[in-house]
Amino acid sequence: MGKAVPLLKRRYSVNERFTIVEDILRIEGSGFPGEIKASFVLLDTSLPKARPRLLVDNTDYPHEYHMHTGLPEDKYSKVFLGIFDHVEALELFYSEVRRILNEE
Amino acid sequence: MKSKVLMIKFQDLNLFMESGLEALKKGKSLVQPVDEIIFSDIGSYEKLMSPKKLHILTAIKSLQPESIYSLAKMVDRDFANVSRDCNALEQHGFIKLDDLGDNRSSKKPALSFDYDTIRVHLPSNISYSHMIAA
Repeated sequence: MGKAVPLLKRRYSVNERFTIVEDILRIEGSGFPGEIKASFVLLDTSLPKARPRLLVDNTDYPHEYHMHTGLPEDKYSKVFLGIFDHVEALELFYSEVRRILNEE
Repeated sequence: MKSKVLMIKFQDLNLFMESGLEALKKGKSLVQPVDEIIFSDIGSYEKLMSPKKLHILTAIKSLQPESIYSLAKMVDRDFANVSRDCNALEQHGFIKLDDLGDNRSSKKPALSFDYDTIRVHLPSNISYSHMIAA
């Protein structure tokens, strides 16, 4: 695999409880669609050890974006989103973040 | 000696989201500097950064504890409360917690980088600072 070049690397404190962490890398020869590996996380201090409340990523083969819906208890349940584009995945992540923030 | 500053900045959630999407759509990279933390508003920052958490940052900077357990002893507080505060400080980017690899899952707290001042940049161009060096 080639060098990893960050396209988006940010952390944002929504309030004292929630933090958004975004990470998009372009990795040459990685086999990811468009050579883009991405993860978008919503962390929650109210969970033990500030574990993720929401995670959208494309780390597993075939690198379709998926949402981990059972966090923090269930790390393995995920919903495949039918998306291979990182911008679309980020838009979907944001809409889910807004839903969670509105419910809290 | 020049002080090393961690800057606290503020940005509305909608603007944060829009700026990320816009950069990606234009093919520009957007990488946050390591010496910068962004909050949505000053109220959220001040709710998080209690005097006890500032005390924790000062102790980490000046006493370099080997674990959260030693840190709790240094600040003379209950381990569970210090651990919870450390997790919050890590989540928001003020510190990192490195696994010590022992069978108790102990973690060594350290500042996210070697800063000695936290400077809060208010939207009105006024700023105030917390000195965390001993």
